[in-house]
Amino acid sequence: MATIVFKCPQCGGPFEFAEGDCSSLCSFCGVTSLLVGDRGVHRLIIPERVDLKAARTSLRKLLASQEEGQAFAASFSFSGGSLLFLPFWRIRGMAMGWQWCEKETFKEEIDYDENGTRYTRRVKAPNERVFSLVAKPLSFSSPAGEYTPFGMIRVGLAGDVLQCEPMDYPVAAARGSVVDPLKGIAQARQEALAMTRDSIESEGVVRKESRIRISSEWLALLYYPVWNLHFTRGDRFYPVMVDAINGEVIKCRFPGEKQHGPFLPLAMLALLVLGWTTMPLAGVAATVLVFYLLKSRLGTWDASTIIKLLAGIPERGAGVQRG
Amino acid sequence: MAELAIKAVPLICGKCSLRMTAHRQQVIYQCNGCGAVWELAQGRIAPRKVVHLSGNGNIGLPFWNAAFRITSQQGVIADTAGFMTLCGSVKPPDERAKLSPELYVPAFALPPQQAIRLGRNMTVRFPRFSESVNGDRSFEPVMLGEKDVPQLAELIALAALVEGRRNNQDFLASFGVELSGLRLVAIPFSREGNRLYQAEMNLEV
Repeated sequence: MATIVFKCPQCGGPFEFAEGDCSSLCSFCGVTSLLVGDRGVHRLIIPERVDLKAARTSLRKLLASQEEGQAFAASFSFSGGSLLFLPFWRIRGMAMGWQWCEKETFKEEIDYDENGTRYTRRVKAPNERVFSLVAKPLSFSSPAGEYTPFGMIRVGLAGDVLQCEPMDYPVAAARGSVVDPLKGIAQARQEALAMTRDSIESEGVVRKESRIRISSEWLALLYYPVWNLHFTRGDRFYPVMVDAINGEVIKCRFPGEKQHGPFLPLAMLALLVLGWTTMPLAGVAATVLVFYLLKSRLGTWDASTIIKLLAGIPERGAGVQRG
Repeated sequence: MAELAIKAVPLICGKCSLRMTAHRQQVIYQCNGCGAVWELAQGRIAPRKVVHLSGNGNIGLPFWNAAFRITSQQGVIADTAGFMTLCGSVKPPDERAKLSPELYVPAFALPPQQAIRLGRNMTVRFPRFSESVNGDRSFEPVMLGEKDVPQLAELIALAALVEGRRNNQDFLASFGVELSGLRLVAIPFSREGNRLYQAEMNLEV
């Protein structure tokens, strides 16, 4: 449950509303206040905690933690980024209504086989019709748009960690881009109710009918901050999404470092041939040089690695992918 | 400074300017000083009428009360006699048979299942209360808003019906409850230990 930090309309002191609450008491002046949303919708924003520099550092750390290391991370150059506020619908309340279903039932019958041995068998009994009242607490969040390109599906709110503020569009727009919600309230409600219906046990149900609605609804449009960073390497462009709350890289896709190319083995082979065909001393020197190159390039005497290198098999490191 | 998308409204009595207190989920507020009742309407505090009903007891429990009629595949049932039949009652209709049946939806803090049971018990007792002459008495905090009443009312009406009807898919699909004359009433209950008792209806909460 998130908390909403507000200014007391009476004394101007900070006070908090818990998500879903109608009222809260100011600890400074003792006045109880009610929170009123625009047309019933509480538009809230979670302020970003990670700045652009920290978001970039977060990605570089991720790249540096790969096998290829620091050099790989340094091979990408930062080419810009912007802060996005992605809207999510939050619905809290009670899902109330009824459900009727027709269930298959089975019963056990005792019978005897031709040898007189007793056994039980499971036979189908008449279907059972069950009516039940539904009253379940509802806490639902859903993206108010298509955010799979951003690597986000839904947002969870933990009160101790996340604090929301009332949405101030001009202030938010000065910090970043505020994304408009594409999904309406009605669709978010339908999704919430569908989730409730799915959570009701449906084992052995042949037919069912239900009428469930949201009662004591608390509705919020919550803007969540993410950094949309751009990195380049050569002539390629790589977008990266970083969570602006905890700095975690939400989505990225980088190719692994190219480790071996065909040039080096060919060059070493040519050196050996040239050395040994010229004179033995030059051959020995060429061999020493080749061994030195192998050691410096591979750092190991592992046979399979050397064979791969000598065979000229181009090999890529594992790509960095997330989201 | 730009206007925020949400605002906080201080809960101060519009009649005597006293600070009012409220539970977190409360939706209707009573001033402890002058007894005036307020609610949030269109972003500001507006007066709300509460009808205090007469009876024995020192605790006022708030209920939403309305006349209702039931629509189903069998047509429209708008009188008490018809509703009694749907409930499976064999009691012969009295002088109230032609009147509209009345629903009572608990508005105070109560788990949903208990609220449905209590509402059903009150509804099938067909109580008739008169208005108390002693108004502005205090009552328990109201947690159920007016807009949420129809949903709970439908469940209470369904709970009052005989099981055979509730298990009929066609009946349920066509079932609906229409409320008219919705009002907030405070019914006196007396406290007996951990229970609340309503003498006129012989009803315990």
